[in-house]
Amino acid sequence: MERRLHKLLRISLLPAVIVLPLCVMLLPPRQPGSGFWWDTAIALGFSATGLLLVMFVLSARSRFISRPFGIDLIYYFHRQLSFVIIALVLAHPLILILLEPLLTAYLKPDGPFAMQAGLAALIGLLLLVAAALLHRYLRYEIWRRSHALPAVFCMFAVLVHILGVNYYVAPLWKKSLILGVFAGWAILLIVVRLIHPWRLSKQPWQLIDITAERGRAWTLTLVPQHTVPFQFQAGQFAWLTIRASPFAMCEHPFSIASAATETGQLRFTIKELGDCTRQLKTLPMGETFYVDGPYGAFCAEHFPAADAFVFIVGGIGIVPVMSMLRTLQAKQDRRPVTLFYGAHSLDMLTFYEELTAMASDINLTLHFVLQVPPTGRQGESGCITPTLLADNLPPVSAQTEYFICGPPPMMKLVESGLRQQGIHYAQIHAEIFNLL
Amino acid sequence: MRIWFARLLAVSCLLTALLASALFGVLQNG
Repeated sequence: MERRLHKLLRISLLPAVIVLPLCVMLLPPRQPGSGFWWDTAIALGFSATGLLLVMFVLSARSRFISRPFGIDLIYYFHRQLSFVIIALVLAHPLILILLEPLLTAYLKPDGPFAMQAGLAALIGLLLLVAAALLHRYLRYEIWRRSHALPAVFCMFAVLVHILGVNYYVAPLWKKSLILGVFAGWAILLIVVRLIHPWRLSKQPWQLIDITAERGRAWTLTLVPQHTVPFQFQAGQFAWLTIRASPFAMCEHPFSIASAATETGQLRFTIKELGDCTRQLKTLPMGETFYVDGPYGAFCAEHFPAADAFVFIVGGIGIVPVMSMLRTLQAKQDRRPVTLFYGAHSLDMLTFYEELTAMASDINLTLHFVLQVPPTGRQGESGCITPTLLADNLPPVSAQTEYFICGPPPMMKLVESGLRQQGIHYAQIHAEIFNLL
Repeated sequence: MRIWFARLLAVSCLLTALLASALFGVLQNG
């Protein structure tokens, strides 16, 4: 219940951010109206500005904002909200130009500077969204920088546009308020891009071991080179900066594989997928890492009253679940746990040996679902489907919590399979693995 | 489900912005 209240509190900030700029404009001294559609179009621009500020808050990795939802959902919402903002920002000039076609003259290179700034902000935002949609084709580091820097430029351009037009915020107190809000945004930027990386730079970690795992994965063991405690909940993840400064904006998110009870070191199991992950195995011992975390709400620990857990994972989605299983084992938790683990073949089953050994230590039932099972092997084969779940799930209970992590199509299929079994959506917890 | 929640929230933001802007248009000219 408390968690819902926290969610509601944060969600209520959204309409506030949209409506407050409009309330400020309506307060005296108020400018005379310019017609319903004209003023509506202006208000759309101001609402979009409020939401633009929200975008920066969402990507600031604030624990206050993300804790009740999980930062994966915050990033997903950030992406969805960008489409809303583009719609509002486009509607703002389009309606105005439809009402007054002569306005297009203002958008020419010799037009007023405030209008040029507005046009620059609009073009910048469109490019920003286009680059975000095409990020798969860009190098990760280039994509990160090409996203963050133009976003700051757009925000400045919006400020210049609003102050330059100087109509709706003409009274001094309104102008001061706008400047105050933008000063708050600038402080947020300084905290996120300078102070936070500076703090991380004072808390380096050192690589002490790399172990090859099944499934083209590598487990990296890091030990802290500082005294600041790092506490996390099993299932969470962290952003790792490897061979770069924390200021460089080239960190990657990876799930923590260690048990939450493990002290003095952190283990990350990472699959070779891209440029960064492919070079991990070549890293020398003693390499410096910076760990920004923990983040995420994909945690069995959030449900102390659960009478059983069901984990359904695909591929490298096993890593956060492994952290939870190792924690349950370390605590000698006797609650029943069922694991459905889908992979291409036995060679791709990361942690296979450890999981098999774990099954005899805690109350763990294993279902390895292989697309290409070895000859003569008993057990499930193919993919994790609703039918397979219907045949193998433990009896449905309102106190059982279900955790899904894997490729998006699998997660979608599994979630619908669980719902078909009458499992309430609040009992189903999914990690959005692909944050971008 | 969480994905749908995020989508619903984004759509709610759009609708809130549209409604609030229309209301602003009315109040500003009322």
